[in-house]
Amino acid sequence: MSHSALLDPPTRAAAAPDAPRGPRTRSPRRRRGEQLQGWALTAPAAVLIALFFVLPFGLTVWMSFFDWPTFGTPTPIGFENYADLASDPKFGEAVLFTVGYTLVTSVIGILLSLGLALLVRPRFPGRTAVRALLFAPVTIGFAPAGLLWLAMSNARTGVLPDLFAKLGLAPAGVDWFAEPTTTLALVVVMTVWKTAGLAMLVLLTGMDSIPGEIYEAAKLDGANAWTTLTRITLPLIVKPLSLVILLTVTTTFLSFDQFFTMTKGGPDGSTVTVVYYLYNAAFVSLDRGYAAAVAVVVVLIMAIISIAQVRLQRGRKAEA
Amino acid sequence: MTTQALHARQARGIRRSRIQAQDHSRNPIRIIVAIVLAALFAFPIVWTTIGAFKSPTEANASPPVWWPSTLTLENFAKLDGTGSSLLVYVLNSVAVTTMTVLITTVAAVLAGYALARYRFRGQNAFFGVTIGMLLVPYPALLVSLFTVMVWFGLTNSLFGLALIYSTFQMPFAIYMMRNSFESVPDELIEAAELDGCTKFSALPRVILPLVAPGVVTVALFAFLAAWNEFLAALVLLNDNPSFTLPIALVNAQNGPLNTIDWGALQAGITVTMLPCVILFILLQRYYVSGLVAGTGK
Repeated sequence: MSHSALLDPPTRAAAAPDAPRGPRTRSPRRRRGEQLQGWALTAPAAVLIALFFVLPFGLTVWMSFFDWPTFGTPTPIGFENYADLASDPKFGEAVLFTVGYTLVTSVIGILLSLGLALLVRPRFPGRTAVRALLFAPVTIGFAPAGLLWLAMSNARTGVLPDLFAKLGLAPAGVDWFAEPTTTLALVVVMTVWKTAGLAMLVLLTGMDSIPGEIYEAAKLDGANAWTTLTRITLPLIVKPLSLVILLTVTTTFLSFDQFFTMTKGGPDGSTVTVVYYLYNAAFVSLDRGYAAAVAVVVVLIMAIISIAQVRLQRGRKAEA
Repeated sequence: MTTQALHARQARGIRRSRIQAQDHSRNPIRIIVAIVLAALFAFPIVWTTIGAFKSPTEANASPPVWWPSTLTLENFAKLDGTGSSLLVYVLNSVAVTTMTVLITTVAAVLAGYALARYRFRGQNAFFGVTIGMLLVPYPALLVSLFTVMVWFGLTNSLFGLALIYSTFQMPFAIYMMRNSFESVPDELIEAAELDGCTKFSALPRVILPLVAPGVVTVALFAFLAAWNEFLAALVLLNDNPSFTLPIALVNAQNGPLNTIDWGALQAGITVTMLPCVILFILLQRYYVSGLVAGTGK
């Protein structure tokens, strides 16, 4: 114990209860030492969280009640930022667009990843490589991935328009980023490509813990593939599946990088997400107080989504 | 034959039948579909990597050149012309990522150990706040984080960025480390204490090697997050020599005269994405164990 005596004297005293300078009983002293050490060990993390999470979180709420210019003194204006927010049709549009984008991306992404998980669950030659390739896009950041798809689908040098034209699926020389529909479709495809592997892997961890005997019994009872899926696999992966849904919905709702790199919110502001709106308010219009109000609303929306999800899951559990 | 051996044999038997029933497929359609899908998913990565090594003329050709006639490094060199040199951006990203990995791992190991092995006042509140962070999306905090960083004199600072990244790694990292430490048997720590270790000195000598997989997982997630993060870097770094790779890429995309040099862009993307893909392939099982921990099993 000598090597650490300098580091933590309280424990040294606690570990040597017979020492002459320990008049009290062993346990309170030990408890106090443990207390101090516990605090000391959590201190680095606690300081980080206090300075870079709690402080900015409090400040966001505080700022949202001010007219907060980048230079000069902030002036308190009550709920005016929130009133402005409610009356700005652009914000409503951003929310609606983000909800729509989230729904489309989540449904396609979750169905695809469920399909992928079922496909690569059994052993077959090359399974490990297939799984790794399906997952590889997950490790790439959204910004480089967005630029990558921009490079692949731009009208001039992109390989995808070229390929589609050669296969006769689309006319040649059309700029996909000029139309809101094709632009959005590209972002959805890119997001699904980048996230499906992660959802697949989470679902696989759930499927791997289903005992094989259950499937054997089902087989003996003559259950077909569809019955096996809906009656055995899906009910037994409810937990990872709801985690996947929560993760997909929340991360998609907060999308920014892929829109910033691929569409810049265009064409004609048709692809501005909520976070993009927040970014514009804070760092383009430099209206910090207003942006803070947007941020508070975003936090509330996310909290509602998370609570709704937990409620739904609990409700389902209670039914079962 | 001992009962143990019998049990083992039974277990193997069950395993084998399970493999036959569900875990094995020789269905050629499944294999073909799986390989086609894997190829489709890998195609963008392969296409971009090849594009990076095309000559600048071929990389910017319209219609695109499918297969390069020669492989060159010219696109990587051209990236230097877009501001500071590519090497500066790579080093910036390496610096932010290294600092994030170190700060995250140290803070999470210490806090995780405290939560798993010590009893102290405020313990539950601390853990509650940490997990509660997951409810607050960090883009929502950027407005005020910018102000906070001005107060601390940490704008345009890679260290400041690493502190923010580490903070937002805390929920996953602390949860992961707490679970890792809780799964170490009590007897081991008691034995270490009998051998003259204190609870604290047992950490590096006895316990840390046992939770090494958890540490690697935490470090891997911190690496991927810091290397790829975009929005905070975009907001907090304003001067070109301090840009990280993702920001430098966007800058290269908005090149002079608003024309995009697709070859240089693909070279930059390749430098940004390949380390992550390679690291994942090397450390796959740690990623998966992190996911399993995340799903709460």
